[in-house]
Amino acid sequence: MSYIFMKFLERKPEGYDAGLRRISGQDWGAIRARIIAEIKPGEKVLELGCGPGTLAIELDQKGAQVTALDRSRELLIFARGQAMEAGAAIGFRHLDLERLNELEGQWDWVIASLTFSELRPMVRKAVLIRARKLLRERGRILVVDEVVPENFLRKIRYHLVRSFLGLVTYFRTRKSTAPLEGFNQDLAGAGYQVLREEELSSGGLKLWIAQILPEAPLPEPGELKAGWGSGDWLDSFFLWLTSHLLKIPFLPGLYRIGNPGAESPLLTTANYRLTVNLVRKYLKGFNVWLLVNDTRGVNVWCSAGERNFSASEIAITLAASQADRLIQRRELILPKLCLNGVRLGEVKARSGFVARIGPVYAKDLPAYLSAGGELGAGMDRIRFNFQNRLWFGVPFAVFMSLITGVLALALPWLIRKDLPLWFGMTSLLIAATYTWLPTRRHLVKGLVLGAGMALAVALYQFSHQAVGWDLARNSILLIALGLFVTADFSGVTPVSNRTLVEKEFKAIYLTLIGLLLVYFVFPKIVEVFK
Amino acid sequence: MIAINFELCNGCGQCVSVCPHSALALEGNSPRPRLVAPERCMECGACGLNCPEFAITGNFGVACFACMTQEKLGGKSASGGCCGC
Repeated sequence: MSYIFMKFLERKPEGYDAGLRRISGQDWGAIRARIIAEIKPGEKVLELGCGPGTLAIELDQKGAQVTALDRSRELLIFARGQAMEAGAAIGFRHLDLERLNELEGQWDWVIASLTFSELRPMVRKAVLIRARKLLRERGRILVVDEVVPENFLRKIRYHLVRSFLGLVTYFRTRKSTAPLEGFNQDLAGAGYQVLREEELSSGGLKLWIAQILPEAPLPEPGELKAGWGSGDWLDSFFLWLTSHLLKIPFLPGLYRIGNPGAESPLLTTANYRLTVNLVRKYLKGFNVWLLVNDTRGVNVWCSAGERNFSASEIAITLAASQADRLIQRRELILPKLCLNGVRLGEVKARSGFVARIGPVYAKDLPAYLSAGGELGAGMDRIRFNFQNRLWFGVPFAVFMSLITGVLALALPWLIRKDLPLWFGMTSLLIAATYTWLPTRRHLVKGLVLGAGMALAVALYQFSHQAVGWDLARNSILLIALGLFVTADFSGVTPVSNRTLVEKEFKAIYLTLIGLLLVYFVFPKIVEVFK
Repeated sequence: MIAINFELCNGCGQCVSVCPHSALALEGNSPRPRLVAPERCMECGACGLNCPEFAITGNFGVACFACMTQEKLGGKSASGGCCGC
């Protein structure tokens, strides 16, 4: 059985241990006993992700001094209750492991059971690095977590069961976990020496005990090619066309571009693959570091809006990649469009690097760097000229026609075959003309666009002798289409705002419903008049 | 729209330098920011987030029709990144 199911169990703390016992095939108690056997009375233990607190209480009963962290307040309330009943004195603390650097103290042990599988790979690395500061000299870390079994048949069974349970779990809890992969490299990279490795629970779980080394090995950042070859053009073109549909991530971390040294500039960006491509495209001939943050495969602006590109995230990537050991110049150049998610002052407080505001567009990086970090005229502003609008509009049109295309294929009796074409065309038209009307209101823009299209089509049909009711009916549908696509395009533009859309929201929907009603009721009215 | 609380504002100008539309400018002898181009403001929240005195508030968030529709239908927050916008 897969441990991804524990995301379910967390919703009912009182059933957590019983549930884990079932998942582990009755092994869970034995696994806790195995962990506790390592700890001597009087030792100071820090537990990362304590859940309902059962292990922490048992450690306390053995005589250890336990500090236990968890990010779930509900689970902590339950854990505190359990500890009170058991008479255990445990220092519980509400802390997300993404902010482990806020913790201070010295412990003999750091223990994490089924915790690392909940963290993103970048956070796993950062936690291991940050735990170094929390461990005394020669302190140890003990990790029990889910791994993919090595045995071939078990591996297949594991993947089948896990993908099914993972889907079920995700639908119910919107959360997921991932088995640890390459954890030995993570440990070695963060400066731990593995003392023991054991398979538990017939290969589905693994236990690591590792000891901190005086110094972690120097990190070896990957290299990125500056400039584009023909492959990059093709890759980027595909990424651009699908940019409204797909989030394609780039492996986050610290990279070298050219041959940077301890005093070279450090740039940072999001890990959407197209974003990374664009940044490196313009850096030919420069020696810089590039910090790629795990923004879940989303571009700078949108991930910052979703709070996935933040000062905390930058600090995690910096810690995980141990940038401070390679780069003496404690300065970080941000893409300006991340500032709705990144608090400048917080970057310094969390990472020790001073954040500087870089240009909005990657293409201005060469001039910015050559000027020694001076923002030239216009580099600090978003533009929305014709070219920019097509840059957003074409992928938007692809997105619109693909969605309606799928609908048309799925419901051929309900949806006209040429609908994707109309949607695509309207999307391109609104992108091209978005700023031409002297109003910001999407209701007006949409109606004007729709009316324009209706007029053009009506003239065409009129010249082909198709007069009458059909013509009027089509016009109504075209106006509705123009309005709907325009409203949708507002989210793509960098010039709309929330207050505006909120104000118009109701009016746009009412108009749309009205237009569609007329469209569908129209034939009936016509019959009455005939 | 954004609102600047001048009792909290210390005139540091951080909001002016983070605005991606140059919609804010410092004015006056003891300089205070003013929204000089409200028609350009897209309520992205950069000024509010980066103000060291927490003096700027506003209706910050995404201006996405599809997101808001989802929000109204399912009660999901728009900052959760519901669509691709």
